[in-house]
Amino acid sequence: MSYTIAVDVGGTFTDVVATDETEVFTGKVSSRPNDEATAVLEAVEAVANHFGKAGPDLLKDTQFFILGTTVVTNAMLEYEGTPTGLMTTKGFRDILEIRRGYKESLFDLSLPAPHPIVRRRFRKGVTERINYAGQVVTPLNEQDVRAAVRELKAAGITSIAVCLLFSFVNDAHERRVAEIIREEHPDCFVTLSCDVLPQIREFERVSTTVVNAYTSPLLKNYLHRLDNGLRSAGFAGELVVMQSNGGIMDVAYSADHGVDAVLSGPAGGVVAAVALGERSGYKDIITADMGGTSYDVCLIRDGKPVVGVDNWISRYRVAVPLVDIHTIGSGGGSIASVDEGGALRVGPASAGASPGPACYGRGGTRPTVTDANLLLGFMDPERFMGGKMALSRAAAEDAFQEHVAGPLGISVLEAAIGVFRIANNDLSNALRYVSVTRGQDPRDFALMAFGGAGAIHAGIQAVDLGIKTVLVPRNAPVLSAFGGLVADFKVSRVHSYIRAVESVDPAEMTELFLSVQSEAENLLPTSDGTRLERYVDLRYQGQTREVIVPLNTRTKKITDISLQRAVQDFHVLHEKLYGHKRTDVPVQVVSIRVELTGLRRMGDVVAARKFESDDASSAHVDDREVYFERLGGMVKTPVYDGRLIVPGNVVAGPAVIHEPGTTIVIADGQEAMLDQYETYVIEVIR
Amino acid sequence: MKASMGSSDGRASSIDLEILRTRFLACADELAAALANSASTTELSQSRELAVAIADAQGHIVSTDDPQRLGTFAATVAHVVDYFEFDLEDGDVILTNDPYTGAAGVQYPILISPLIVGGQVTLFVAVMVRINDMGGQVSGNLNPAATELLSEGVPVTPVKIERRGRPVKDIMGVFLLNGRREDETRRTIEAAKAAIALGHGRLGDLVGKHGLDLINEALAYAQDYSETIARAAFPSWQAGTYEVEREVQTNDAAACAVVRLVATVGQDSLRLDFTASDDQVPFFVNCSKGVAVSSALSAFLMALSGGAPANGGLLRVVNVVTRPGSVVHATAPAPCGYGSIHCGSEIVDVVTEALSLAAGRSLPVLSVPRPLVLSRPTTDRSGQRDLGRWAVGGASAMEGSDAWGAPNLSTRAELLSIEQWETDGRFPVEQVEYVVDSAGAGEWTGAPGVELVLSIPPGQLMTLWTVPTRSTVEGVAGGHAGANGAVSICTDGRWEPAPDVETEWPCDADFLRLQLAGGAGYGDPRRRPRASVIADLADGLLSEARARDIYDVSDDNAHGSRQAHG
Repeated sequence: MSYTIAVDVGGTFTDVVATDETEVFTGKVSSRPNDEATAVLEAVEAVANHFGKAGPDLLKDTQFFILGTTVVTNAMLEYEGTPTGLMTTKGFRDILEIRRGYKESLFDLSLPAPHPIVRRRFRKGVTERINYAGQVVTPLNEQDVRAAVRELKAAGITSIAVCLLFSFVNDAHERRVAEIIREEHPDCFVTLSCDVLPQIREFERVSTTVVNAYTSPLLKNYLHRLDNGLRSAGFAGELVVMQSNGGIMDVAYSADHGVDAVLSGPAGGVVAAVALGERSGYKDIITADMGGTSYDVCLIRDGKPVVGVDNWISRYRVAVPLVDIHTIGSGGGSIASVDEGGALRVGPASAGASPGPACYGRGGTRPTVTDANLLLGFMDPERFMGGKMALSRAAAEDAFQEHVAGPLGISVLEAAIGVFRIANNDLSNALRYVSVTRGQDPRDFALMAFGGAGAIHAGIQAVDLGIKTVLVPRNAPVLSAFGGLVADFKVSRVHSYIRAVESVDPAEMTELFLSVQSEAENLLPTSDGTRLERYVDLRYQGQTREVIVPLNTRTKKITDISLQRAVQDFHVLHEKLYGHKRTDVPVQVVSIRVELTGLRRMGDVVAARKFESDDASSAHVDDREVYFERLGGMVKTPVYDGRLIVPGNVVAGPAVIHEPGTTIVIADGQEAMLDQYETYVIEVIR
Repeated sequence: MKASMGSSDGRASSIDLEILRTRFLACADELAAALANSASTTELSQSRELAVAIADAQGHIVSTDDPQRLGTFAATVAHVVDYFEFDLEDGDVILTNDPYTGAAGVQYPILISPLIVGGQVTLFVAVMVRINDMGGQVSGNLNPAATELLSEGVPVTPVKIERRGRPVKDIMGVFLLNGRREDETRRTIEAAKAAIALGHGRLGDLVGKHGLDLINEALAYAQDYSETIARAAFPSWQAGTYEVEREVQTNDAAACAVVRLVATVGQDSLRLDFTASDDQVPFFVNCSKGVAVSSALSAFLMALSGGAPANGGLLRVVNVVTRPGSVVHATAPAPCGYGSIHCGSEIVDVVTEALSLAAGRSLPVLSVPRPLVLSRPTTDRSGQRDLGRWAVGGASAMEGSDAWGAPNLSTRAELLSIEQWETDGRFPVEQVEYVVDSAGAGEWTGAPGVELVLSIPPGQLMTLWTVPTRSTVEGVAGGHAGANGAVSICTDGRWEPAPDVETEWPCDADFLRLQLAGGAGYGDPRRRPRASVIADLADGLLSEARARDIYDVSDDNAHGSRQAHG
């Protein structure tokens, strides 16, 4: 028997999904602040208990252990990374702090400066200069480098980022600096920008390199401790880490690439959405993960998550390819209030998990979206969290009366309806923004909702945006861990290559692609086969933004024809994104990209269940008053216990289904069916 | 106004109106993002010298992505609505760059197009773009030698470049013919038209979904809402009259133009009377009425921490009064190419100071003096480069926090990438780094100024106005001024100040050094926490001499502490 275990560590719970190739187990254990490893080992115990094995026996037979980790995210959120220094071209050490002039708010004078993860005193300029063509204009002054390293070492710096101008066209100076650092400070962790992001634009590169230097040593230590702990407990398989690009990679790679794990957990959810969506027959999906404090949206096109390179993590720019997750501060805990203009507001302040919504009875007194959902009948005070936690309707009413209904001179119910509608509008705006700004029409997509409250609101968003199908996976509460279970290995590499298209030498470009591909292959662990995808970043001459365009060829060779095809595709994509194209303007290549996927044959970890009758009446456990706008208000609505629903059962709206970790609202004009892969497929007519 | 929930009387509920209000805001942002991403010049894509606005059928602004352009849009759209009152049809696109009717300068054309539903004008989409050449003596339309507008460029009164959706080729041809960068300008105008088309699509969908009546009600509600928010600020201000003035430097050091403000803070409104300001001058620092209103409202919004959305509702609360023919309200033939920088900055400063007096707390100065530094190859009249875009001044501190980065109002523009700039064939950048001791001292310090050094290739003609860099940014509440800026050139290893004013000056220097002023400090420096002074020393932002002289931190202590810091 061979096991695969996937664990995703979250702020409150550590989720685990495991399979013995015949059955899938899902579970949760409590996370432990500042002690991820203990929660991970407790998750293993839960798996062992389920399969009736001792922990060591389970681990001995475990082939893959996949980890979604928050170590990097937390290091950035709490600014508790490794003491880090920066070595850069003399005269440019403040690029990191000048941030190309960016400030998050034009009118907020009280916004403090970003926390300096590398203090200026630890940013050292060294004499050297390479020009845009890769020619050495000023040789590297090695004495400068040695002196700087000694100073940093004496100051207790244990990780150094190196980012020299134009290292993406000539990395010789950066590599020599690395050699000197290793000579002078052998225990120091070194990150070179030419390794992390060999791409034009110095601020984006230096920030990404610094984030890697700041976080990787922590991740490295953690992974080695965890790996050793698992192995001493009998584990003989491979420990791998969920990456922000939606793939997994082994410890050897992950330990040196902390910056690639900044979205480790959320990326797992998106990968799971891809897998579950495909099983249910959908390859174009918008994911909507609604938690207590945020609403995360991601686009999946043709079975592939859209990848973004414009990300900021804790106010630092990270330009490596990440699954493009757009977050707004709107969740179940978002607080409703009436502003000075007499308008009803929802968020951005949040009651979070503590004290939480008023109805939790943990001391929260402000009305939230969750309180509104309770007052409108979407949630059952007795069935929250599978009945593990009772909700107080009275507390929710009090909070609404004091903070919304009273100030506006309306009833509590009207106030709850208002909050529900405003929150829905915010969520719809986020979905619209993500699809439209990426050149996509939301009507072409299915909406997959997960997180505690996502499926309460998803039906409304679908109507608002003209989406025809909503998908709600039954295992939504452990979706990120499930994503790890089904993820493939993946290496994303980018390299600057700046040419007008007409002056590109196809042979030269082929060679560069092969070199980058070889680099990726060297990083990729052994897998059951590979898939190579190549892209070029193109733009019209004079533009400063590129469009990433697939470069489709049948062989490894790039030809004029394949390049021209990419240019044609670029015009089409540009028109889709921005509403116009300019076939008369010269097109420039800026970078090339390689995405190498190492395929894992996971088989069907979610085996198709047999379809049963369409009759869901045996799961119909209750009726209660629930709010449906089109039906004129609160109407008597059938309530279903999701645990009793089997594949093939059909539930027509209006209805509410309570699954242990989530609530699904089926509006009038909508109809849900649980499919063979235990995903609710909700058809939306209106 | 107070929000009401009820809809039983047939009126829209406040929730419907609030939802649509946020949709108007999101729409302007979306159009601007699309325009910036697809633009073919760095002025648009990085410096973000573009803006989008949505206006109601009367021409009142409902939303804009750039609050700093509110006055410009308000004046120009109102003028166009009046100009074409009985001649607006579906598919029309109108263009104007006339600063005397509101535009920021000839280099900033505004395109305006009505959305017509059921035969009625429902709203307008307006897009402002920066073009790099609109004729005139100096490419780029920033000409310190100009004594009249025509020396800066060609103004265009409102003209239809599309009529009923069809291009008006002769008009567009004339417009393009008046610039030196015809293809680039055409592409910029096409991108702006694409943004308008996108806006018509989005807003047309909204009208289709919600109906004309609700949309009209929401257009009014959005402005009412801003008005209510803005009026709510007044109880915390001391009603009264406050008089403030600032000098705007000109090419004649002995003859500055003075911006004079009499601000009358009422119970729930503000009158900003600039009529006592000096007459316009034959120099490019005059500003249009639109720029004056934009600048005044920017300062007002800063005092509200941006809390009120920028639209016509604010203009009901803030009444900006100017005198035609003055330095803050240019009329023919006055040049005004640099007016949005100077005297726009001075208007921001006087309004900020007046509101500080009314609020009883000192707001920081919101700008730094900025020079003009242009360069072009001798052989290419259209190849003008604005090197001044590299300049980064320091923000000024406010009570409770050290300042960081550039002054907020200048941060809409993204600084250029050095590697991108050099790769695109511009001059090598030798240095971009903070200047020691440039931050204004105080209990809370200003942000340091940045020094930029560029290599200058041979055969360049430079256009300069460097006088503003001599000024410092004054500290408040006992804080010290930041260091002043400077523009210097280096020839054969010898640095010297660049000329005060030059147009198309043959420059044989090897290097140009550009430094903007540091931000001012706030509060008595002696109250600054010792640990913060030592940290600044360790970070190389503060010299030992200054630490000793201003902060009273001795060499020995500082040295010991720095060693402890590593």
